[in-house]
Amino acid sequence: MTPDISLSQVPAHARHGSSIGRPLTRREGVLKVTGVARYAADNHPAGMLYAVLAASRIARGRVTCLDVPAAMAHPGVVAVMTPANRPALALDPDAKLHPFMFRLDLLQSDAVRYANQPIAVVIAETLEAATEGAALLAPRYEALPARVGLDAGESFVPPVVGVGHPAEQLVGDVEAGLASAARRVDATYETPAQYHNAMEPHAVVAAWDGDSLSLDMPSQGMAMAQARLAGLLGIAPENIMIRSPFLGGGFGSKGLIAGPQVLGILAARLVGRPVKLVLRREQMYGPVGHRPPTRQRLRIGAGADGTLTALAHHALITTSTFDDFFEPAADASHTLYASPAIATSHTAVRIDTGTPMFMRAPGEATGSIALESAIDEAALACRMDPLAFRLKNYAEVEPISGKPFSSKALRACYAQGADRFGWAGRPLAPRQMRDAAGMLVGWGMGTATFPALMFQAEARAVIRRNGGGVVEIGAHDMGQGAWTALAQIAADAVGLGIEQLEFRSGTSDLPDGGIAGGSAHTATAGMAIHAAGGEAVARLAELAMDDARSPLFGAGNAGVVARDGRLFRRDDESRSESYADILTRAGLAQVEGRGKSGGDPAAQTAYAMHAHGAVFAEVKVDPDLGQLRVTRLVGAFAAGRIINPRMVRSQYYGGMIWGMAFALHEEAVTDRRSGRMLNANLADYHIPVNADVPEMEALLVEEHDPHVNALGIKGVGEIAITGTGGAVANAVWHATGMRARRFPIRIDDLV
Amino acid sequence: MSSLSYAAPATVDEAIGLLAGASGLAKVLSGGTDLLVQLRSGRTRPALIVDTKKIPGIIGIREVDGGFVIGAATSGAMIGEHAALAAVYPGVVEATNLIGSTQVQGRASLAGNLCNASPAADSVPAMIAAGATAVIAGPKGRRTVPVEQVVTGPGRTSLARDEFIVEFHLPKRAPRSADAYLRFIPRTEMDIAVVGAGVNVTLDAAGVCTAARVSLGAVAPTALLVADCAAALVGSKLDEHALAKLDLAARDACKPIDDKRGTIDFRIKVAGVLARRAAAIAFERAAARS
Ligand SMILES: Cc1cc2nc3c(=O)[nH]c(=O)nc-3n(C[C@H](O)[C@H](O)[C@H](O)COP(=O)(O)OP(=O)(O)OC[C@H]3O[C@@H](n4cnc5c(N)ncnc54)[C@H](O)[C@@H]3O)c2cc1C
Repeated sequence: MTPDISLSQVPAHARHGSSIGRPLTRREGVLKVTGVARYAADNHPAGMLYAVLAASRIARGRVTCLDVPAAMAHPGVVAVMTPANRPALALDPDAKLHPFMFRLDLLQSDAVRYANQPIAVVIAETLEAATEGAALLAPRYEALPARVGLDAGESFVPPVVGVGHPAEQLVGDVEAGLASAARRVDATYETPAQYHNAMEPHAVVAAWDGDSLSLDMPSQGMAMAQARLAGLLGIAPENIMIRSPFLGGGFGSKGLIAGPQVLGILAARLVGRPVKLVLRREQMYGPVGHRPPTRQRLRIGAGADGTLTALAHHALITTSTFDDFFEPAADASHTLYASPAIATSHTAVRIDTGTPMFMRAPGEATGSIALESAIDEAALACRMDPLAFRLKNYAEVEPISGKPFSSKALRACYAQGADRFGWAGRPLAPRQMRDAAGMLVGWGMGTATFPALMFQAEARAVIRRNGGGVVEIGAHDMGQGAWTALAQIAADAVGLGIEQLEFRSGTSDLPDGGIAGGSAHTATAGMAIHAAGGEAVARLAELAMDDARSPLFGAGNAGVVARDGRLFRRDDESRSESYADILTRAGLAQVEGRGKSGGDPAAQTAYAMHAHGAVFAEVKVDPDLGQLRVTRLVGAFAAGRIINPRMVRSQYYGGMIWGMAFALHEEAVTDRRSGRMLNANLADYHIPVNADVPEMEALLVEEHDPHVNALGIKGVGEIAITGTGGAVANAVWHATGMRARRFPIRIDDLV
Repeated sequence: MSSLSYAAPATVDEAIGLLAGASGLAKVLSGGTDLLVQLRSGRTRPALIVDTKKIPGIIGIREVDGGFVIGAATSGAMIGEHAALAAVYPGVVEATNLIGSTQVQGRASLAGNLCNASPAADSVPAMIAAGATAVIAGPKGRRTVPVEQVVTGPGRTSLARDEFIVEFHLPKRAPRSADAYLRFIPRTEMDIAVVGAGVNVTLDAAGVCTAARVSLGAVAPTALLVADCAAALVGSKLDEHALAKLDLAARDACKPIDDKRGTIDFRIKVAGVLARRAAAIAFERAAARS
C-alpha cells in the first residue's frame, strides 16, 4: 500500500513550514555579484588552446580559397581546421533523423548557405594569435546573389509549424463570418528578424581524454546536447560530461547545441589539447538561431455589438534554404478570442539565412503583437473600449479546440490590471490626452497568453539520518532563478527546511532535468523533484508505519505529512517522528527516491492549458518630434501556483521589457545586396537600455490549476513578452492616431 | 601580416616626430572610445598608435584671459565636473556629456569626437556654435583653426598626417551670452544623434539678440555652421516670427541621408524643431547671465 504523501494538494501558502511560495533571493546571487560564479568561458584547463572561428562574409556561394599557410605561419597558431582536415563525424551534420535534429554547419563542405557561417577554425596558443590567424585566412569566395527578405522567392505551405503543429487550422466558416460582419478589419503587419543576443556568447571549453569528453558549455538542455554530441561523435552519451552551472542568458539559442560549440569540440580533437571557443558578438548573428521576420495578415469580422464573427490570421515567414524551422506566428489566434470561425495559416519562403530557432515565445510573441493590434483596430471599428471588446469576446473554452481550460483567471487579470493602471475613463478617440509638458499621452492594452507545457525529466532525492537531504537534477539556471525555485520545491518534496537541503544541479551526470525552454522548466523539473522526494518520503513512511515502536505505526491509509524533518500522521499531528529516529531505528544511513515527470496525456486531451495575463501600457509622444517613451507598464498574470514570487515578478518584468523592445527597438537589418547583417552588434541592434525601461508593475493573480500537474505550476518565462508588444503599439496609436503596422515602430512613421 | 606598434610620447615634438616618421598608417589615440572599437572591428588597421595622454597639459582645463583652454584628451567626465566651464558654456558641456555612457565619459575626449569626423558627433555642433578654435601642432609649429574647419567629410579631417590637436580654446564671453545643445535619438540613452543642434547667443540689456551662431549635426557630411539661422535670431527677442525663420533656415541647410536611424524628411523636420528648442534654451540662459 502506498501511503498518501501527496502534499501538494494542499495550497502552498496554507502549509506551515513550506518553502514553496516564499520570495527567496537567488541562491547563486552572491556568487554572481562577487564574480565567483564560473561561466563556461571562465575555465582554463591546463594546456588549453584558443580557437577562433572564421565566418563567411558572403551569404550564398562557395569558399574558393583559404590562405591556410599564411595563418599557420603566424606565431602561436597551432592548427587551422577546414573541411579538408576536420575530424571525421559519425553522423552527417546534414542528417535529419527527427524534426528536432537541426542541421549544423560543421565544415562539411565549402558551400556557404548564410552570412556568418563558420568556414574555418584557427587554433592557437593565445586568443590574439588565433584571431590574427583567422584574419590571415583571407577567404575568397564564389558568390551567388543572396536571397533576402520575405519576398525573395516562391512561398509554400510548410509541412508543420513550431513543434509539429499543422500549418493550417480551421474551425467554422471564416469567409461567411467575414461576409456577414457589420464591422471588418483587414490589416497586414510586419515584424523583423530578431536575434537572441544573450549577454554571454555561445562558448565551449572542450577537453578530450581518449574517447571521453569533458565540456564547460552553457546549455539549456544538457541531456539533449549529450545525445546530439554522442550521435555526431560516435561515442557513448555517458562519456560526455557537460558542466553548465550558469548561463548568461539563452532565450532559446542555447536549447540545442550550436554548431560553433561542436566545432570547438572538434578543434580539441584535432589538436589533442583542451580548446576554448567563444563566439564574438557578430558571430552570434547567423549560426545560433534567430526569430524570423513575418508578414501577418489579420482579417477580423464583428457584429454591430462587437461580437466576433470571424478571425483569420495568416503568417508569411522565412526559413533557411537547408532546414525546417517554421515560426508558428498565426497560432497566437487559437486561444484568446471566442469566434465562431477561426482560420490560421502559414506560408514560408526560403532565404539565405541561418536556420531560425526557438526564441523567446516563438510564434506567440510574433503573432501576439499582430493579433493584439488587430483586435485594437476591431474594437475601434466597433467604437468599443478595447478592454470591453476583449471581455465581449472572452473565450470560455479554447476557441480552436472547444476544450475547457484547465484554469483561466484572465478575467481577474483584466480587472486587477485595469484597476491598478487606472484604465477606466480612457477616452476612446486618439490624441485626447496631454501631460503638463505638452506630450501626447496614450494608453493601450494587450492580452498575454502562453501554453502551459510539460516535458520529461528525472530527479533523485536522498533523506539522511543526520537530518539533511540531497536533491539532484541536471537542471539549468540561465538567470531565471531555476535553482532557487527548484530547491524550494525540493525542500518541500523531502519535508525539510531549505537550509537542510543540499540541491545539486547544473551538470550532465545528474538525472536528466529536461530542457529549460517552453517556459516549462519549473513545472517539468519541479514535478520530477516532487516525485523523487515523494518516493524518498514514502520509503521513510513505510519504515515507520511498519514498525510497532514508531508513533506512526499503522497510520495506513490515513497517510503521513512530511515537514521540518519529521513525519506527522495526517489525521493526528500530535503523533510524529523525526527522520533521524526512523532511520536510526531501521539501521539505515539514508533512504533514496527517484522520480520522473512528463505531461499527463489524459489531462492534456481533456483540457486546454495556458497561462494568461493582461498588460496595460502608457506612452508619451513628443508631438513635434515623434520621440516616443513608454512611461508605464502594468501587467497582471495568472500562471497557476507561484513557487517564488520574487523570481516570477522578475521574469514578468523581463518579459514586458522584451515586449516593449519588440514594439520599439529590436530589429536585425540585412543588406539586400550582400545578404549580410548590417547591425550585428549591440550598438546598432537595439535592445532597451535601463533608461528606456519605464515604471513597471507585475501583479500576481491567484490561480489554482488542478490539472496541469500535481504542483499546479504553469510557466512564467515567456508569457509577458506576449500582450506587451501589442499594448505598447496600441498606446502609440492612442497617443498619436497613427497605427503601427510595421515593427519596430519607426518614429518617422509618427510625424 | 599586420603588426601594430604603440608609443606614448611625453612631448608634443616627440609625438610629431613619431607621426611624421611612421611607415604605414599612424593613428593618434586620445580616449580610444572610437579608435579601439574600429581596431577591433578591423575598420582601421594602423601600423602605429600614438597615445597622447602622457603629454603634459593634454588633459586638463585652464581658465585663460577669461576664456577656457581644454586639453585635447580631457575626458567628458572632467569637462562635466568643471563648474566654471559649465556655468559659462553649458551647451558645450551638455553636448560633451551626452557622449556615450558613464564608462565612455571616463575616456571620451573633444579631440577624438572631432577627429573621428562622424557627422553625428555630439560635441562638435556645440563647439562650433560656441566659436571654439582648435590648436593644431605639427612640424612647422602650431596653428589655430576654427573647429568648423577641422572636419572635411565623414572620417576625414584637414589635419596633415604629422599633425594633431593639442587643445581647444573657448573665447571669453560677453555678458548675457549662453549656449545650448539638443540632440534627437530614438532611444533614451546610448544612441547616435539623428540630428543635433547647437545654438550660442548674446543678448543686449533689452533681451534682443546681438550675435548668434547656430550649428547642426548629422544632417550633412559634416557639422554645419548655418549663417541664415544666426541671421534669423539676430535682432530678435525670439518671437514666433524669428523662430519660424530659424526653423526654415535650419531645414533649408540640411542635406541629410536616409538611413536606419531616420529618413531625409524626418531629419529635416527634426532639425527645425531642435533649432527652435535649443534657441529657446540658449536665450533663457543668456538672459539669466546678465
Ligand atoms: C558605447 C559608445 C557610445 C558612444 N556614444 C556617443 C555619443 O552619444 N555621441 C558621440 O558623439 N559619440 C559617441 N561615441 C563615440 C566616441 O565616444 C566619441 O566620438 C568620443 O568623443 C571619441 O573620443 P576619444 O578620445 O575616445 O577618441 P579616440 O578613439 O581616441 O580617437 C578618435 C579619432 O580621433 C583621432 N584623434 C584622437 N585624438 C586626436 C588628436 N588629439 N588629434 C587628432 N586626432 C585625434 C583618432 O586618431 C581617431 O581617429 C560613443 C562611443 C561608444 C563606444
